[in-house]
Amino acid sequence: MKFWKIFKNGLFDENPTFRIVIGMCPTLAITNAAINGLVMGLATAFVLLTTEIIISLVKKLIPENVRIPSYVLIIATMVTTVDYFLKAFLPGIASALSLFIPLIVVNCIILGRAEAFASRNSVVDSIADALGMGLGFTGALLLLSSIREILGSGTIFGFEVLGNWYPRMSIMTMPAGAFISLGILIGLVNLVSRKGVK
Amino acid sequence: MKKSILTLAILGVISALLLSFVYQVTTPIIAERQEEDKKVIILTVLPESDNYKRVEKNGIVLYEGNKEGEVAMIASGPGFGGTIELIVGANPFQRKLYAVKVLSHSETPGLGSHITGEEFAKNFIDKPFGDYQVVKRTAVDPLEVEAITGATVSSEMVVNIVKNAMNQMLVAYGFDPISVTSAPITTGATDASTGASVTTGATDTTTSATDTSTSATDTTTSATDTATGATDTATSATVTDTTSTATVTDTASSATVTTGATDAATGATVTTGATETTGVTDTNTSATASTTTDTDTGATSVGGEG
Repeated sequence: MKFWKIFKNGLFDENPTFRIVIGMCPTLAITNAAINGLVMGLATAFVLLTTEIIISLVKKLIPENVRIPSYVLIIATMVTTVDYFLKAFLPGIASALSLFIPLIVVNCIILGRAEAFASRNSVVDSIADALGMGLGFTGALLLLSSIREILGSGTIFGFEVLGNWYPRMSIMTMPAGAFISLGILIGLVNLVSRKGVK
Repeated sequence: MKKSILTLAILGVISALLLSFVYQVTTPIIAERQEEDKKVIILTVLPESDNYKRVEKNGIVLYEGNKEGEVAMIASGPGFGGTIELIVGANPFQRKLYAVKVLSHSETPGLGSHITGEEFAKNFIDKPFGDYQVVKRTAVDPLEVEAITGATVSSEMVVNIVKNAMNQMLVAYGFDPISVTSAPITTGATDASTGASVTTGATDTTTSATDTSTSATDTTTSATDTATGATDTATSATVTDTTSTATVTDTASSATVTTGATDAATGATVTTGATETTGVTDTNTSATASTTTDTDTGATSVGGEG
């Protein structure tokens, strides 16, 4: 029961992108195509899951004063692993995401959850948190990148969905399009969630 | 304190061990992938070959297909947003262009990035060698290239690179280069020298010369390189004058080779066997290399490979 509650918290109530608004660097930079958003989200989710598991396991062994460098070291190790595996098995996507994969190291979602959650909770709860937050982030990136790809290129995952009659809004594939669509999405999410409260 | 150091040290060792394992597992796969990718790309621009060998001619790396005459080369030059890298497949003996593929670019997403599209690539499929021109309408002549809407500059830059590549190939196989005109370089990028040097396979040896460029007119479109007693082989490219005393570095930011460029170099002795047939466009930012004294003391001007 608690597991689902924590999971749902990351997925919706404290969605990193739409509610807490953290991890904006990859969110804005790579969401110009749905596949990039999906892979970036999953890569981040994987790093989040492995680091939260490791940190919740070793939390008692790590002295208080060196916990941040220790977390960064663990995160960096997992990120480098993901980076190499992507380069080896998904080279096309790895080159599209280029330096944003290594930059997962400094993604504040990961260090934030390590510090705020994994270092204080059990392994099972940390897994729930990592899955919730990771999938919440993936979902948000996928939504944002799908909207941008459809409006900007008329395709989704590279497949054409809008015919030639549709004038491509190329601004949507550029950084400005990321800000515009993210702003509108956050606004919509707030609108929906407020309705629930009242 | 001791415990902190120990913890970090242990973590560091574990992390290093894990990463070296991951590295060993993935590196051969990554290398293999890159090799395969390269092979696939090279063969896509060589229609009838199913294998190729790497050869070097005039300092240019060429990939000769096993089908007689089919040659591919990687060419690059400035684009609107940064360097554009292309692979060009052609037959220099029959003066035929097979295909052009974009390997890397940093053009504007959604506009210039369409240079990677099939629509644009069609402009170069099974075409003769020649002085291609970018047109903003439907192409009627085989030597006309339809500009990408909203990305005329990107289109022109690709055409420049292709033309240079054709000439480099021709020269590499001992043919005369064709005369081409090039669009002036317009970059959206801040750094004008990005992608500046496009190869010439030619080495421009200036033997203890004083290259006093007095009132030289270096314009993008028309200029003449009159080097006393010298002919300069710049097969199709930009020459970057690396002078040892380096007062002026000619950043020829364009791969533009224009027939007849002016670069009145007084007393300069340039010893290189060939004729600057296609010319060099020296884009000195101010376009006038007047008062500057460019002393090439035994300098060797090397055109780096693009």
